[in-house]
Amino acid sequence: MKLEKKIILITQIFITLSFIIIWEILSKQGIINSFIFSSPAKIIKCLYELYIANNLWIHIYVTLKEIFISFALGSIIGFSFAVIFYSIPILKKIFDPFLTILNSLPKVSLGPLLIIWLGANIKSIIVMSLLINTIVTLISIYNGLINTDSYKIKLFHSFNATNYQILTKLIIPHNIEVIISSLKLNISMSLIGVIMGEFLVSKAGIGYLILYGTQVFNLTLVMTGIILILIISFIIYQIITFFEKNYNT
Amino acid sequence: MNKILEIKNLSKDYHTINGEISAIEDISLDIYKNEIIGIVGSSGCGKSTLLSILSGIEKQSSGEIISNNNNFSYMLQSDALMPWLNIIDNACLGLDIKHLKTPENIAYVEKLLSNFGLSAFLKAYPNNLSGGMRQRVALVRTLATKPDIILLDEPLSALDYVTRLTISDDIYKLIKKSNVTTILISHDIAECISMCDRIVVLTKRPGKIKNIYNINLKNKKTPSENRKDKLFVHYYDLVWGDLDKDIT
Repeated sequence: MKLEKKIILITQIFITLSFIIIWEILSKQGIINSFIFSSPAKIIKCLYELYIANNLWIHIYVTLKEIFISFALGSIIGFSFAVIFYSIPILKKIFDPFLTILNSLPKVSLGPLLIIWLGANIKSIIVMSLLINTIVTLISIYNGLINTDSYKIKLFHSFNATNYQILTKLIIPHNIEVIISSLKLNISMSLIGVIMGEFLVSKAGIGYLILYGTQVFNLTLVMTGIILILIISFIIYQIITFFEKNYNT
Repeated sequence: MNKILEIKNLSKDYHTINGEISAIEDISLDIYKNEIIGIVGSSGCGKSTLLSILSGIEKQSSGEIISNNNNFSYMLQSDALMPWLNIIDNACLGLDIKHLKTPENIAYVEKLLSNFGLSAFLKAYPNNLSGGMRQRVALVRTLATKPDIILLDEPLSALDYVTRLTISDDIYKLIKKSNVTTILISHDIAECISMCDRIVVLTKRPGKIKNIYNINLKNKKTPSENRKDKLFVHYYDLVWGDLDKDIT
């Protein structure tokens, strides 16, 4: 098993390095247009320039702050509503069509309205992200809750357990893995929502960097923004996986 | 004998899309202190429904249960152990829910687990235990709240044959030692005869009482010993003859 893990890790590193090296060579040799496709060397230089100009950490900080706020709010709201819908099934039946419609709506179409309603500020970005992550979190946690072992629920009833005891001593512990995996999904959705929000309205952040790069046709800046998003996404994913592993052991 | 539970004209109907279905109908039965009473019947005849009503999980459609505030405890077909709790916490689950998890009661549970040879597994988790051991823990959880009546819903059905025989001996000894009245549901006639003082045979759905047999084996010992009794086959034939054998 350890050998398999090593093989997987080495292969993953090999694929990443190969991609970077091939990209750099193709760009240096002029096989691909480095103005349009940029190159790893140009991206590193761009990162360095942002760092020297004291801009790098500001943009990362702004995006991380927005991700964290929308992730936390999305998790709390999604979890709370999943529990409410589980506890009061008629509410789920009433709201089911609304959730389906809202979930299938392209959220970016609400962007202009959000700016008018909430202003061109962080609120619009957070709400845009919440629109994307909350329903997905709610639905995935709710689906876990309704699949709780019916025998175990019967057992709790036989001990005359209250609904609160059933929730805290059975439903939540029984679904902790579902909750963690929905948090994983939520973090990806939060990242998408925040970048989408920053495209619409922002003065800083990685989404702003990408949008600005597009406007001035600095595609290396765009690529740098994308790489930063990938790195942030990877780090956050690793943090959640770490907590997940700690729970399982 | 002291009557501990009186069931009077108990019926239960379910409302389904296809109309009303009667699960049990007009069941009247007296249950006496410290006896083990078995309920047998074909699949779907309402045995589990009867236990669910007695335990308070479901309400009857009509009829009456006079239980004199007796405390019930229910053991399900599946062991239903919580994989995130260790064995002692699983065994104390009922105590925890009922806010009775005192040091004295925990010591009592530890003693019960030790009777089953599970002392070394108090801090282990269910996935480290065999099916038989898990079922023993489930029985200890059922007895932990010191109930007056325990309801066993096919407690051994998930186990292989050899384990069933061994555990039925263990369960029998513990039940007798705990002086607890027991209502046992089982598909296995031999298991019921070997463990019970009386056997109630239900008709197919809607379940009604077809016959009640007093099991008077000559030298009542453990269930595995009782199977060797001369009268065992006699009772087996009686109960088997009463069962509705429609395969649905």
